[in-house]
Amino acid sequence: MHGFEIASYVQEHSVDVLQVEEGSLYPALQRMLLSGWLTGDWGRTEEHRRARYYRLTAAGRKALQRERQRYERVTQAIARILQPA
Amino acid sequence: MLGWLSMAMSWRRLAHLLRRRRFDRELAEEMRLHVDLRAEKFERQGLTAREAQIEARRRFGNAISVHEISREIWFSRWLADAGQDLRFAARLFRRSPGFTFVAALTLALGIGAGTAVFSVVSGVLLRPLPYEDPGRLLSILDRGVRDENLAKLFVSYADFDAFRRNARGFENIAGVTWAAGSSRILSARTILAAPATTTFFRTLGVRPMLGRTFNERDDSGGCSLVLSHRFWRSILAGDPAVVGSTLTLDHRPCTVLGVMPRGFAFYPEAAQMWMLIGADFQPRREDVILFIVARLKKDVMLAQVRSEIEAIHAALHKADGREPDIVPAVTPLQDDFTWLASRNLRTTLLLLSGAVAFLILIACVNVANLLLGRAAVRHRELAIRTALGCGRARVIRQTFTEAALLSLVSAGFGTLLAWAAVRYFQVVNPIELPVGADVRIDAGALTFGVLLSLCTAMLFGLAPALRLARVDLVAGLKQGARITFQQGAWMPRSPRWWPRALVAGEVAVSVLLVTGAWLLMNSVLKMQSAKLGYDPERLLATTLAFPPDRYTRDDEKIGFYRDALQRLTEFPGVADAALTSKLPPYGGGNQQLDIEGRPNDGSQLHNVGGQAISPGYFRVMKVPLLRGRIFSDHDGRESQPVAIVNDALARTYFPGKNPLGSRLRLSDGTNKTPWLTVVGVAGNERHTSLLHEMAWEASPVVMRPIAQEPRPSFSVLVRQRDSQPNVAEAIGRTLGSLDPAVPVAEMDTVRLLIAKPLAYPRFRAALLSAFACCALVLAAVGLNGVLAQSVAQRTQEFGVRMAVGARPLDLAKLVATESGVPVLSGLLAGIGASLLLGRLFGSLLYEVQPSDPTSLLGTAVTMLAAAAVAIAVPVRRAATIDPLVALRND
Repeated sequence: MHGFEIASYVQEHSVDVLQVEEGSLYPALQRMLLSGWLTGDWGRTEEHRRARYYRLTAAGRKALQRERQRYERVTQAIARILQPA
Repeated sequence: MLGWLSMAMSWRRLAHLLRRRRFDRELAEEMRLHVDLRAEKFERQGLTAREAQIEARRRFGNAISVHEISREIWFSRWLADAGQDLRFAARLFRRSPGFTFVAALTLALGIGAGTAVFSVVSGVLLRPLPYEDPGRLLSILDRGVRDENLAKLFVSYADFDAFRRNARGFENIAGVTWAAGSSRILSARTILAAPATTTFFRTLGVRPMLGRTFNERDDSGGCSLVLSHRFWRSILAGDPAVVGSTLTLDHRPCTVLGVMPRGFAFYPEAAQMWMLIGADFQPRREDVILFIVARLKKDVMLAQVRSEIEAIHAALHKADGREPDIVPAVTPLQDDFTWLASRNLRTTLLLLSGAVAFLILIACVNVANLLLGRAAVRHRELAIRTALGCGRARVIRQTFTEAALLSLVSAGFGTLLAWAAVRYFQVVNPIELPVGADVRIDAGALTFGVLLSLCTAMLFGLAPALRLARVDLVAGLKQGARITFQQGAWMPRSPRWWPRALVAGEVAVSVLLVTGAWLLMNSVLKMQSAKLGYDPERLLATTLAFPPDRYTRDDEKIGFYRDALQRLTEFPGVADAALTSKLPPYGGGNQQLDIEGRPNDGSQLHNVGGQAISPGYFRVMKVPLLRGRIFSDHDGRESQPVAIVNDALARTYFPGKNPLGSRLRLSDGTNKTPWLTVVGVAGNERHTSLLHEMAWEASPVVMRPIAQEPRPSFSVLVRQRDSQPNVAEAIGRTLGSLDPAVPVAEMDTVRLLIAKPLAYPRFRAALLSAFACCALVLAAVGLNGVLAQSVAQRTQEFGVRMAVGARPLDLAKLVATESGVPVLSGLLAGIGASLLLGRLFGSLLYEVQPSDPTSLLGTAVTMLAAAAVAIAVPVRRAATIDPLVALRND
């Protein structure tokens, strides 16, 4: 996916709840590039315009899994706190 | 793992740094696309184009700040970290100034020596000669085929003429000669004007600074001159109007055509101006006097020209019997220049480069060891840092930053050191370099120094970095002293095994250098004190030359000789005086010997020298007469031609026979002496050899009375009664007052003349000794450091040992034996290596073998003495440990 596609994806799937400035996506992408989680390759869109397509690397997939587990632990903990049994 | 990650990240960052402009462009393009696509979407939803653009921009946020933030992600953190590391490293070094000083000095020494040697090597071997497109320049000389001693000879003018007419591979070909003797100019100043062909300057492709150089029309005109910059500057005071003026050279008016630029030089080095072969200096066609330099046509290979020249040479000499013996040698000019400066210049530079590489290696090993030692001390600090969350990658980076800072500071000092060394080299001129070789610290040498320091940083930074990265957290945070206590002393990978192996390596390399220095020193000493067959003490010498238009008749020359000897023997303080056509340290020759009654089947070698002497020669030189008689004043122009041969000739050509009474003749291919009757056999005088720098040679010589073979230029030998220093000048003045038209060269002691060929060996020996000393000191410092550290770490153990009854002597022995293994194994390895490498440098030795027992023994003693000094302090510390203090330590 290229930058705009990622932004649109986030927007659609969050049903417009997450309304951040779209530009802030780009520094995040740079950070992940630097950590080696992503690769960015130039390609063509359907309308034949130049765009950079990002793809997860193996290290990126691992990092994603790690972050997801951590996130789930945290949300579960929060959920337990908010819904006393 | 983490280390690799950090390296990968640094790599990505570096790649990024190099493509910064592209990064900016691509990010901007990406963001523009984003905004455009968003705007199109809004348009499809019904907004106008303008509204859509504005809304899309609003949704995107501040593009410039986003761009800035993205850029900073790549650099800012990294730079901040680097700055922090640098500050930390600087603070660390400030806190232990002793350590820093030793480490920086060690490295500065290595880097300085390396840079200085590099600038010499690059000046002599790497930098092209100061002529246009020097890669296409060649020299042509003659070379003896059968006789090794006939190394390189000048070429005859006839050969040159044939090459010039027939060779097609050259753009230009020129000759220059050494043969012209000195000339007088401007009220009796003696200078050397080298005769050259009109094509000389054109072949080299060097333009004059003023006026012009020779052209074909000058050949038919009168005497013309091209001046060197040195002559123009110092004698003519840089007169800009000199072109076209007239100088009187040997009583002939000569027109000055031009002045060469400052950097221009060629062999013969002493030439202060150039005149023309042909117009001003007429050699006979057969005289072998020319040094030929030629410029290859573009796209012509050296091998092609070589065979062409050989063919021309063969055709020319088919008839004269000279051909099978002598062939032309065509070599690149730069090789020839290096060879002309010294037979061993190339080997010398190779040796120095090797030595300096070893020195740098030792310096690196030493600093690595020092850093390792500190690493052991900082074990706990780093364990704490790691425990507090400092990544291992950061730890490695920190140690590398320390190494880089250290090496950069050292590079600064090292460059200063190199600059001083090169300055010394330029001012003192300890050895002769090829003309046009320019030794200086230039951009190349500076780059070399910086690269060298970075490489050394890599080398000595790596070991401690890897060690520190493996810090074991749990063990590190426990009692620091106990870790080392538990690990076996000689277990591989144990921290105490590493430094010892490094020290053994240091010892081996310094042994190699010390052996080399010892061998070279021995060679110089032996060569200096070698018996040469004559007594050089209190012997003075100078050379005189008749102007070409004076003393043309033999009896005039003989009259002058008689007057000169008369004046000299009457001079107070002079014991005796004689004349000779050859002065030490030179001798030998390449003439052919014919013996009456023995047909010359061509097997006779061209290896006999001819010498003309006055009767007093043997008395003055103290050369023994072995048989027959010496010359007397009765051996004159009208009497029978006589000769005295030396022992070498008698043994080579009259083995087991008495040469007295035989008749022989010398010829140099064109000129033949009359038949000479041998009346005596004299002892050999040993002289320098053209081919082998480290040798005194005794070659066959035929001596004739100077009255039977008067020479236009001759030398005077004077034996002083006692060595009064001022006499030399007075004697020179006396000789000069005989006839003001006959120039007298400066008076030298024969000791000084003999010392000249020793300049190179001496320089080599001195330099290698200096390197060896440095290496020895560094190895000793390294050994000392490792032992001191080991003693510090084992304080507790020693305390326990003492408490249970060990005596101080036992502990001292323990530490001493601990150092014994690395020192002895290093010593053996070094000696083995020196025996192997010694073969390569046999040409630098004089009557010493690489396996010379005295040298090896001397080396071993030197090394062991240095080691003893190095271990004395730690041994004392171990022996004086107070068990109470040691055990109370924790």
